[in-house]
Amino acid sequence: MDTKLRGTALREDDLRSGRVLTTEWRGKIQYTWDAGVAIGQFLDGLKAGKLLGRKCQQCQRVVIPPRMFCEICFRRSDEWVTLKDTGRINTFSVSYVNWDASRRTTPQVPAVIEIDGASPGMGILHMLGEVGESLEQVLASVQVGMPVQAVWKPAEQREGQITDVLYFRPVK
Amino acid sequence: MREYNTNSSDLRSVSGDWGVWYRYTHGVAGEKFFQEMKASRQLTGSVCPKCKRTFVPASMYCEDCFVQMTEYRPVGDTGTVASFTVLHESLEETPLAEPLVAAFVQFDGVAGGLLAPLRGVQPGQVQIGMKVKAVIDKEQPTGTIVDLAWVPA
Repeated sequence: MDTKLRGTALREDDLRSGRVLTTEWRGKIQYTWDAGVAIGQFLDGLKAGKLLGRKCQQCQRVVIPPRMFCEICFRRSDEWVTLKDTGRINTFSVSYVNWDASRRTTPQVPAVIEIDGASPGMGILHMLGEVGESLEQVLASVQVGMPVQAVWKPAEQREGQITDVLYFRPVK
Repeated sequence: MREYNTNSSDLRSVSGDWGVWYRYTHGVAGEKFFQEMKASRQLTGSVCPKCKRTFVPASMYCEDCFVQMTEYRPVGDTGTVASFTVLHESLEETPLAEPLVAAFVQFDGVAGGLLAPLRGVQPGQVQIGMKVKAVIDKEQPTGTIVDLAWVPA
């Protein structure tokens, strides 16, 4: 018995042209994620051009993204705090792939920004912009700890989504 | 500021689409089966060189003898309903205007079988054991299983 596994090499064009038959399925799998009270308020804040944090009076921490419960004191947190739209880079990455693994010619630079006015280590994941068009340029212009500022969409275009902040740019 | 919601229209949510899809290739024998269905509008089985049984749809290996099958033959267009179900809803769970009969059909002396819609018969009239005939009558066959249907023989 021939046990050699030969396989059949296929090219994209074999499938596209119909030389090789295929069965295709495109799912319509949708989701709606309920933001909850704290993130709901945070998103309303973004629409108004504000970054909102949540303060616990017991430990005095201000957390962003906000949550209604202090995970350290184990109690409901107390008040909303409007924070600045500036911060410092906690960590960043230079990415040549999109979320769906498709390739990019210019890199995206996702970063965690520690927001000014929030407790140390509190930050949001967002994108850096105006930091160069190549890995070399990005690495030359971005350092951990560097101050950055939010660049907002025009007020009339904001929708109450995280993308209401277009990106964070270095403070010149 | 809001601390809890009593009005659902105030709820903030984020909607999206997972964008999931696949493209399935049918394998060597499956390709033969569907190419024949598309080009000659007939059903093709594969013959085991050892036990001499014919399998439909054609497959590459005999599941009993574990040997490769390279011989193919048409299995004819007349078979027997081995099992069936009556569908009243679409895949999306919307009601169908007309109920649809899906029948699993086997062929004399052939191992395996094929599942396809059974046309031209009232759901109440379908019986296991009834003879049906394959129809592959799309003007532009796609070379997939949706080209196939049955009618009473």
